[in-house]
Amino acid sequence: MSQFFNPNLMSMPKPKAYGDVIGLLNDFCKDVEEVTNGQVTCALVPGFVTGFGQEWKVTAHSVQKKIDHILFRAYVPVDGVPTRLDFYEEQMTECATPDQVKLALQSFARGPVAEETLQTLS
Amino acid sequence: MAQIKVGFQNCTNLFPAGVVQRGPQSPAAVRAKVEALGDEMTANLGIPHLLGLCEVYDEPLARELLKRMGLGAYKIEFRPAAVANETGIAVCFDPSVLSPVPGQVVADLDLRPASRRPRWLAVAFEVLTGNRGGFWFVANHWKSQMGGPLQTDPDRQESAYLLGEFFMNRAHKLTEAMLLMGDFNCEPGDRPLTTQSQRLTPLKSKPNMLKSVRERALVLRDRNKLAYFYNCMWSLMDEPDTLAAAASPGYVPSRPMGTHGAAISQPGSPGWLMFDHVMASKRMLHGGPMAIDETTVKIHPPKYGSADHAAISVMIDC
Repeated sequence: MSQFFNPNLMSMPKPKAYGDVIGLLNDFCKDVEEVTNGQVTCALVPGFVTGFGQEWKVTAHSVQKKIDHILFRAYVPVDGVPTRLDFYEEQMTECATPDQVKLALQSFARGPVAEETLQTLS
Repeated sequence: MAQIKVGFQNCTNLFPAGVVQRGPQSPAAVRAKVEALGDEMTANLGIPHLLGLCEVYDEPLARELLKRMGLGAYKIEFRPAAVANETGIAVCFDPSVLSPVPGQVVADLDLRPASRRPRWLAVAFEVLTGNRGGFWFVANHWKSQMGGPLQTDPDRQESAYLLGEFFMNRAHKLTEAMLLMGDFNCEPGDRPLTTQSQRLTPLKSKPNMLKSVRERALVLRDRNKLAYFYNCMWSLMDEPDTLAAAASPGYVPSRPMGTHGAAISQPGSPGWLMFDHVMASKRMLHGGPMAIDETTVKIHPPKYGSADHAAISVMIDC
C-alpha cells in the first residue's frame, strides 16, 4: 500500500476530452509511420508545462537519415480542451473540441509543409 | 498576468585590481567601481528578475555586483574568457522566478574554441510564474569595432552565423521562444546583422545567419523557420521629436537615440550609436505562452559615469 499516493491513481479516469485529444495525437503519429512505410517514426515528446497545458512535441524521426524534426507542437490542458496546436503559423490554432483537433490535424497533414517534410525525411 | 523584468548592462572593464591597464589598478578602485556600477544599475533597472552582464572578468565580481544591488540570493551562469586579459559573460537570475533547464547552457566558445572570449551565452529557462513555459535568454557581447568596422565585421558576422545556426539546429527543439539582449557592437542595420553572403569568405552564403529585422511581419509570417528576430531598437534610433519641438526652450529629449557613443560620455553632445539591442523570435513576440511587451523596451544612460554603455531593459508578459 502506497504511503503517499492514492492507491487507485493509475485507474482513476481522466477527462474524456483529454483521452480523445491524446488519442488523436497518437493516431497522427501512427499515420506518419504508416504513410511512410516505416521510414519515418513519430513520437509525442513532452516539453514544458505551461499555462496552456502540457506541451507535446510531435517529433518525426527519419530512420535512414537519423534526423529528428518537430512536425508541430500541441499544448493539451488537463481537461483536454482547449488544445492549442502550433503549426509554425502566426497564431496557434485553438481547438475547443476533439473534433476540431481532428480537423486541424487533417488540414495540416494534407498541407504542403507536412507532405514535403515527410517526403524529405523518408 | 505575471511579468518578468529583464535587463542588460555592459560593465566596462570590470577586472580585478591590476590585471589589465584598462581596468581598475587597486582593490579600492575595484570596490569603488563595483559600488558605482551597482548603484547605477539599481537606479536604472530596479530589480530585474533576469540580468545579463558583459565585460565582467569572473563570477566573484559578478556576485559582488549583485550583492551591491541587493540581489545576493540570485544565481549566476558565468562563462569566462579563454585568456587572462579578456572578460566573460554572466547571466544572473532570480531562482524563485526562473529555473535553468539542466544541460542547456551554450556559449559560442563551445562552437569556435579558438576564440579568446565568449561572444554570446545562451541559457534556457523554465518560467516558474504566470503562464510558465520556457524560453532561451542569450546575453551577447560581440567583438568591438576597435580597428575599424571593415576589419572587425567578419568576427561579428561569425557570431551572427553561429547564433543563427544554434537557434535553427538546436535551440528551437527545446523552445522557439528566444530573447537576445546585449552589446552587439554594431547597429541594427549593420552588415553583421543583415548580410548573409559576406562572411569570412566573401562568396560563401550562410542562410542560417541571424537576421535582425525591423518588420514584425518577417518574423511572424506563416511557417517562417529561419532565424529572423524582431529588433526593437530600430524604432528608438531616430530623433524622438521634431526640430521645432527640440528648439523650444527647456527642451529635454523624451528618450536617448542610442546606447553608446560620444553622447553617452558627454551628455548633451551629438554622437549616438545603437550598439545594445533587444531582439525577439516569433514565439517570444507573439502567439506563445509568453511575449515581450514592446512598449517597455527602455534605454537607461549611465548616471554616474561608471560604464560607457547604457543599460537596456524589457518586460516579458507571461
